[in-house]
Amino acid sequence: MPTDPAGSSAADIDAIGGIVASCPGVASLSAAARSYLPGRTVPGVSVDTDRVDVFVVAQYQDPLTRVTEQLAEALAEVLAGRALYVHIEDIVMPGEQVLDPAG
Amino acid sequence: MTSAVSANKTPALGSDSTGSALETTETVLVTTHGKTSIADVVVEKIAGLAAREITGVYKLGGGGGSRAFGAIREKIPGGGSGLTAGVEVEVGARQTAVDLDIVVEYGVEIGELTKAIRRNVISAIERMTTLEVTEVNIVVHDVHVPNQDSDEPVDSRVE
Repeated sequence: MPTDPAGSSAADIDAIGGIVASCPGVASLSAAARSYLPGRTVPGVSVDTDRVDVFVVAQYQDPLTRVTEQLAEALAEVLAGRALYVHIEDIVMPGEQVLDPAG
Repeated sequence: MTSAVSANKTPALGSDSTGSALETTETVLVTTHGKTSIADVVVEKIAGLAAREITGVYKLGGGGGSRAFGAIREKIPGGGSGLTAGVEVEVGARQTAVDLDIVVEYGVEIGELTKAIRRNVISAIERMTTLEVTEVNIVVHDVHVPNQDSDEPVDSRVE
């Protein structure tokens, strides 16, 4: 996978995935999309030179636009100017049993 | 982003080979910090919870083979969820319409009940997603009468 000036390297992808997964409004990364790396994949993250897409399963608490704001703040540094697109693929409702999230 | 949404649309069952999330029907809400896309299932779950919370709603769904209310979806392994039974949504960029299929408790004043359901569904969706709810259509397809449950065990004549 070619590297590029924006640094869509494994470290970049892993860093984004880690930050997103630890965001309070996020239950887990979603398997709706993933990044492909040698020997493994990182679910819920897709990076490009000018944009980063993250795919999440949200918690049922704060408004979902607030989740995007939280992610934008947490990711500000690692985004390095790239546009952020947050995809809320699913939501965990109160009392809902959480199935195996992004594999 | 897909355009037309029909009542019989096939729901996305997970990532396809390209991992493209753009094949699901999504909303895109522009906030100052980034763009938010919300999958249909999210709006459905929120609407479903808001409807079931109302006292007098016995359950959602079970509307007898109506494809529009997820009867097909629920039979697909991993593709259905009890939380979206009886709920169909049509989601646009800024608005959404909700269709509910419910069973009411016997003795409930259905007019007041549906008003309460609409209030709660609209409030929950607008709070969580900022989508404007243009309509909440409700079909009452059955009444639950206690002591006449079909799910009570029946002695079978044969073994």
